[in-house]
Amino acid sequence: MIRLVLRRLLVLLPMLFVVSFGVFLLVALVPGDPAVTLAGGASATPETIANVRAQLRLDDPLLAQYWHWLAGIARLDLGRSLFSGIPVAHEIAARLPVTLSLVIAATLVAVVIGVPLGAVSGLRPGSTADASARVTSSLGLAVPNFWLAVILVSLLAVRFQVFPPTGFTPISSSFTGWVQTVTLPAVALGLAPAAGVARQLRRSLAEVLESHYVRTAWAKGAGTTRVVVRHALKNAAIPAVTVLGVQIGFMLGGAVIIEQIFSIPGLGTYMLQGITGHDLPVVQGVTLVFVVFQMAMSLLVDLSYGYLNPKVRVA
Amino acid sequence: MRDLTAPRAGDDVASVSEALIGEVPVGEVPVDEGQATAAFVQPGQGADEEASPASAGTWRRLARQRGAVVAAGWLLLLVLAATLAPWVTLHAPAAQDLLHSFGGPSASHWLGTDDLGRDVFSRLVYGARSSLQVSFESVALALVLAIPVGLFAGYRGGQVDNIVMRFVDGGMSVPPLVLALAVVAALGPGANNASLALAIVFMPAFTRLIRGQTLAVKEETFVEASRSLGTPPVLIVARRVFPNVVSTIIVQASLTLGGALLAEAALSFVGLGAQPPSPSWGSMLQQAYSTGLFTHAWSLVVPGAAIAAGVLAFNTLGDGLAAALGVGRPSNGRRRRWGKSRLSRGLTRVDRGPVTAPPAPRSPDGDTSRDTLLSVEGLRVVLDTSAGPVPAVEDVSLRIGEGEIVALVGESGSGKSLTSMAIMRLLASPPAAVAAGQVTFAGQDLLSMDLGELRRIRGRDIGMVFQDPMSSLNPSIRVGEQIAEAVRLHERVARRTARERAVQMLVEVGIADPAARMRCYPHELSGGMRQRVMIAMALVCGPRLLIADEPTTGLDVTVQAQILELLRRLRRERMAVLFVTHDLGVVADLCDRVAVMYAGQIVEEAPIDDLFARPRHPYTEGLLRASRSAQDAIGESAAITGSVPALGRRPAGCHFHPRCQYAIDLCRTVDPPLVRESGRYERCHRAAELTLRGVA
Repeated sequence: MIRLVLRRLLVLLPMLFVVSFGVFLLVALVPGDPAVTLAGGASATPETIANVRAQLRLDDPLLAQYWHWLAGIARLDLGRSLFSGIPVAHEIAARLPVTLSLVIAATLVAVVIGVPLGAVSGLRPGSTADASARVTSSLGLAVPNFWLAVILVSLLAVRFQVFPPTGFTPISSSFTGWVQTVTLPAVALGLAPAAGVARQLRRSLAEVLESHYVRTAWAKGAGTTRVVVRHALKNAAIPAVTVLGVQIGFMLGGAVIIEQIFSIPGLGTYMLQGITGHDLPVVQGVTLVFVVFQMAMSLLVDLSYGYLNPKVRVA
Repeated sequence: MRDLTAPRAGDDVASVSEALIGEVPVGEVPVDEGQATAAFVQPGQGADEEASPASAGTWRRLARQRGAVVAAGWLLLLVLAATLAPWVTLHAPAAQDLLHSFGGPSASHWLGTDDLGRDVFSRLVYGARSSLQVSFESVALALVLAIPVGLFAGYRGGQVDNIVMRFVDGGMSVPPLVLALAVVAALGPGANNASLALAIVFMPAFTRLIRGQTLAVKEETFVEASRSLGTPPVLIVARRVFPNVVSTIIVQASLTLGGALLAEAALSFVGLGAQPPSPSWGSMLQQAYSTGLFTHAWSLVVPGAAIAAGVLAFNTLGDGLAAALGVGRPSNGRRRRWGKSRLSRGLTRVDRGPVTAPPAPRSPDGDTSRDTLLSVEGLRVVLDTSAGPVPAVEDVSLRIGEGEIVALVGESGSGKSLTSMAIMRLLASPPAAVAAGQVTFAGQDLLSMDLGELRRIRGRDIGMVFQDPMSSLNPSIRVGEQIAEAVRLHERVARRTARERAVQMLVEVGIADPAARMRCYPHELSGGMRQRVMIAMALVCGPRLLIADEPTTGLDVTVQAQILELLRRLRRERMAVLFVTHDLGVVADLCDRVAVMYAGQIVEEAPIDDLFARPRHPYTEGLLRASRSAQDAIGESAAITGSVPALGRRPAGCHFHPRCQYAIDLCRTVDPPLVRESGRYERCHRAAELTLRGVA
């Protein structure tokens, strides 16, 4: 197991290196003179422009800039916001738990809704329950999460005031407050992944139930519950977990928009602030954190294979 | 015809579509014949047809899928409306009428007006312009970049491929929408920048897909043939490889368009896509949200529904195309013939129709020599195939006494395995169903039991050994636990006792160091050990009847002898065995009686010595001569010419007549009845007149 983790890390670290270069190169995509554009365009004062130029070392050769930036990252220094001057790493450290708790809640929603939905249809392919579950998951994958979010707000926060329309209570200050504020965004964010998980689980469960080893379980005299829970679900879960891992990547992107709708002070709102303010260090820093976040998720998925599929453990 | 590349290529389609739709395949188990055989189509044959993915057959297959047709129609309508926007709308999209803000639907404003009194329908149609434009542009741009790179990397391989794939991996490790946002952050907002950003997002996945397909196609014989003829690589790639990749690209493009539409809407929702005054669906939703949330909630519905319907249409079309072009796994397009409520898990459906009376027992005088343990009378098993119901087992009758070992012998395809599983009702319904007959075990009617009643017999009174132990053992459960589970399902014993029983059983089947083996997973054992685990699992509860399907195939000779010895010993403890095999030699010294099956019927049944010495059916004679030990005895090798007819292709008359050297006209027209004569049965018109050769 430890070897598996080490091997995965050996793959992920060079990949992170490649990605970091890509993220750094964003500065090369900025149109015109980056210093001028980032300082606010034509209206910027010469001092701000010079300030930006100095801070991003725009006069250095590109590779030197990259090296400097990378050396900073190694010290957990992601630079400073071009406007507030606050270190990006500080801001991220304060906001990461917020986004983390949102994504975890959304993952919970995805599992709690997706697994039963997929199991119901996988157990009885062709039934009415299956047909409606399939329609639901097709819709779930097509409905934009931000639309779902605004509909939820207008129904459950404005019309029936069950939840607050915006705002966020950190889990550390009040758990019930957190549940209240995180429910709507988590549902909005988690429904598409739930549909993805359901779709995959339906397919793999239906297949596993036709497998020879499930037939062996029947032949031993196992009942339906035992066959499904003990013999089928674990094997059928492997592809579903893969899907969930991929979907978590989508959720990170979705969280940016969802946080904006609910005014949640997480990484997403920070990134959007950075984008609208042309604050490149902020955008770069958050992007890099999101990448690490997703890599950690894929590592977790790989580890779960080790639990679900004993063959992986020796590999 | 596409299937020749599908198995390998499918993995890659899935890996990309998982990134967009979120679905990955498990190991495909071919269910119906068509699917199973399609995988073996020879490469060269399909090459030309593949070159034109949009063949007539494809269109037909696509047209059969109602969802995909509706989706295509909707998308066509959208594109038309967007193109002809000035002609299909009554108002300019930006024309304000502040006196009529948030107006309801009317003859002039079909979908009402927004906060500034602008016509929602016009804005929707014009919005389709920018939303669709960004989607198509981004996908087209990504393809233009990814196709050459993917083809090159895949065809060239080596270091180039390695480097390209590292970049692809890097690109795919950034959450898609985050990447798009980051690029827009650098480039600045706007529709064109959004297209560019999304193209960058989609490119890695496309590259990976095309590269994977190229890699697979490259190894095909028709490509290698071109290569050996000295065709320049560029031409090979353009003429031979690319056409085989097109289908996959089309499917993926459709699915990606759905993702693009969604992403474009997200970008313009946060104000980074199309800029005002030109409307887009995402910015319309944003507008409605910021102005109408508290007062005019319904204004949120229209733009969101437009996005969802568009995405749904692209996804449905993509799925439909995948099924029609045979790309990747057969997804939702696969229609299985299971009707509603007919599905019964773990219990073969019994559909004997309006049974009048149970069929008359085969032997009115009965078998007085032993107490009957299992009796099968007139069993008929039908399989539902795409060509309709086909009989697989026809009128099979069998009788096994306590402590008796009966062999059920036949070539593959004879229906012997189906028969053995139908007894325990382990055939999946659908496609299988018992259409007629009686199965009585120790006086109980197995065919009228429900799952709860049958469960108590399965595993405890009747043990079952399946062919192919690798797939018949659960890959994720330790084998010791799998054996112990059988005990705990039927007896109230402690976990430890069950485990001890399992260890003991492993010793009996001759596994060395059983305590250590208990902790192994099936993949950690050798084939022979897995086989013995399977046997141990079937025997651990001390069943009265063991149904064993090829239990010694794949075991080396000493182990095989050991297992046969174990069965002999258990027989002395009154266990009966139904030994299913294709090899008469194996069962020669073990069995009391032999039933020979051919094409779903029992053609002969006799005590073992009689059958060996004086076969009464030509098929038995052929089997005897083909059996290895018999070959040794008579010093010649003789296989029966021809092969067992496929399901649904069984000839009229005697099923064996096309392969029978003794066949006469009567055999071709009339199915011979099973005739009893001096303690044996045979199904042959000429049994009385022929003298067939046995082995001494």
